[in-house]
Amino acid sequence: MFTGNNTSIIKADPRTKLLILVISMIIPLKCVTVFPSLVFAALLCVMLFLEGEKYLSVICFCISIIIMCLYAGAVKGGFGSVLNMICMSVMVLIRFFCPITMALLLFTKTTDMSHLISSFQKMHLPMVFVIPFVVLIRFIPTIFDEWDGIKKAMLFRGIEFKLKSFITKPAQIIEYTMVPLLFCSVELMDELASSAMARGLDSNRKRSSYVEARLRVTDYAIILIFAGFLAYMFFIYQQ
Amino acid sequence: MKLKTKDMIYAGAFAALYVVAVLIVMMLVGTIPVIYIACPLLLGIFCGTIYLLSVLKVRKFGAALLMAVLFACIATGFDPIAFSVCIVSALIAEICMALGKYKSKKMYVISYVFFNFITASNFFRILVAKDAYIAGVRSMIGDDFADGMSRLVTPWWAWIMIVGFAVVGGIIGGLFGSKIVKKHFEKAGIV
Repeated sequence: MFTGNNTSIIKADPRTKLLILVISMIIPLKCVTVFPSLVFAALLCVMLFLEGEKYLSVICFCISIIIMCLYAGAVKGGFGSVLNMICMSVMVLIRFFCPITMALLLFTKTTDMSHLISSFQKMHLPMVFVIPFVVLIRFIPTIFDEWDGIKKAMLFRGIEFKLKSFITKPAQIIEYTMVPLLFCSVELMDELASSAMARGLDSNRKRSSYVEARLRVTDYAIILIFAGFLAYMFFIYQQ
Repeated sequence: MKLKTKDMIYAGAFAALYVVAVLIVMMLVGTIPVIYIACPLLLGIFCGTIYLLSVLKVRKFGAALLMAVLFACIATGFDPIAFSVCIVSALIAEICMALGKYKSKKMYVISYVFFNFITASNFFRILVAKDAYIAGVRSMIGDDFADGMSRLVTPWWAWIMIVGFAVVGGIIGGLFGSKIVKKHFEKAGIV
């Protein structure tokens, strides 16, 4: 995550990808029919493909086709039985989160951190917001890694983590999971802080960057395509 | 006292922990409307330790505010009502900590009671813009959930219940968190 890859055909600016993420949060609210959703999924998959995640883009496209087919089937089935309704609500949720997940994958798999920081600086956001935000999105996968480690260490000592114990022994669960997790994280934060110091993040001078954040022609083309799609959706569902 | 880069990194990382904890608890209890209403209580108890460790580690103006802004960016979906609830409650928490001169333990716990209102921010949005929310839920999740939700949020005591849950959760979480911090982290020399 957040490492970037070298096999990409075009390298879109992080700002473009953020815009795609925002648009893909709005689109599922607006378009409820099958065909436009599929077109949007295809657009996202093309973006993933061009950014170098070729295998992933094909998988995503197949999954979204299957989901849309199931969704169309569920809609045709109507609201007859209780079972049908449960299926329907599950399908609606999956359909809602499908494009958001794909846009998140696009954002997280193909952007590297220094590129992201330099493009945030281009947006003239204050550093007091940029640094915590970047740390936040980089830290979330780390937490899950640490959590895996803690679960393994617990298993080593013959303690199994069960969801049931949330109800029977809540205080102990909080203490025994939170404390090691917080200890690991604090350790990591100290390391991160020294690494940031070494990279000169806390100097007051303007930072220069190895990768240049610039909106190129391809970025404008991508923005135009996605914004056009959004505008078209608004236009259609106004009527 | 301005925030240094180190403090910003602490704030961001603790905000990540907070967001993950909130999302996990929400996912566990979010499926049933009755328990869903009690989210501020459960989240308050669960996340008190993270908040207290974060503000005790930084001990400057801005730690709680940054955490609330980052939380609002991710969990409220830029809804104006929920966003402003987050920021106002975090500001009150900051004032509480400043009144205690960033030393008093009691003021830290009291500040958490106010800070815990950010977990209820999404409910305030529901209560203020009730009809639009119910319609949205109905079209997205299903009639059952929407009916359960509308039965729960219609009466006036829904307000009192949610505020009460947030306050009680804040008190329990704050006391519990300060106990854990004292037991484990002060000994290790982390705060």
